[in-house]
Amino acid sequence: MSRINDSKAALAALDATNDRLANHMTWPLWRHMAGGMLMTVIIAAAALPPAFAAAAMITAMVLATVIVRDDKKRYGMFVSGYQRGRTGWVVAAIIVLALTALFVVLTQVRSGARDPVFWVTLVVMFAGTSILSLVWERVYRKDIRERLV
Amino acid sequence: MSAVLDDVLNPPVRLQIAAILARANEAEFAIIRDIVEVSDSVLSKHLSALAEAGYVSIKKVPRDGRQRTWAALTAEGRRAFRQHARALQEMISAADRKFSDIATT
Repeated sequence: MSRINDSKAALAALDATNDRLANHMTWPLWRHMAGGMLMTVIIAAAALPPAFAAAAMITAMVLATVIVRDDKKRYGMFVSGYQRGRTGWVVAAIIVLALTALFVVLTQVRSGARDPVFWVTLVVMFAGTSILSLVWERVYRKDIRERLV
Repeated sequence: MSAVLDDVLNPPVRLQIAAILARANEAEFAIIRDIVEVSDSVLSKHLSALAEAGYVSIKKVPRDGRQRTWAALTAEGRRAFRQHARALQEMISAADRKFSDIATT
């Protein structure tokens, strides 16, 4: 009986920790938008002339480094998007959105940054990935609380 | 096949540390301490035990003129944590089933 009680106490402690962890893991809106911007810059690079594309990729790399460093400094943690649990569906949706945007800029954009389709695609990409990032956070916190590891 | 309890993860503090690290790629000592709600010395002792078992990797990173300790769960630690949590859950479920069988007879 003591072993069962110990197990119950251990799981109760685990649930309490998960609850505190879920409360800690909140990111501000700008952080989600920064993630959306990072994805958008990468898609933009595909439709731009080589010199601009290289600049866009360097910007994306710098942005990614700044995001990781800021997360570590501000929250004392780094959590990548690739987690076990239901967040996988949100990541899959982001990948589908990114591939669709990539397909559109590669096949429909004729005159680079002067083409309205280019800008419309980037706006949709930015808004979509930022919103999906917010959804990811909610699902992630729910997964933690429900002990889905 | 039923999961088995892991002796290294038996102390609840270690289970709590593993739970945090299972959900983050890496975490700083101070954050783990605040979430687990233990003292520096207690956390340090349990982190060392987890590192010794090969479940956690620890690195020191200088920041603002001080050394900060960062911990991450290894692949082995991740596997052990999942198995231990599952074993705890199975043990409780089995006990609950047994208890309800006795109550209905």
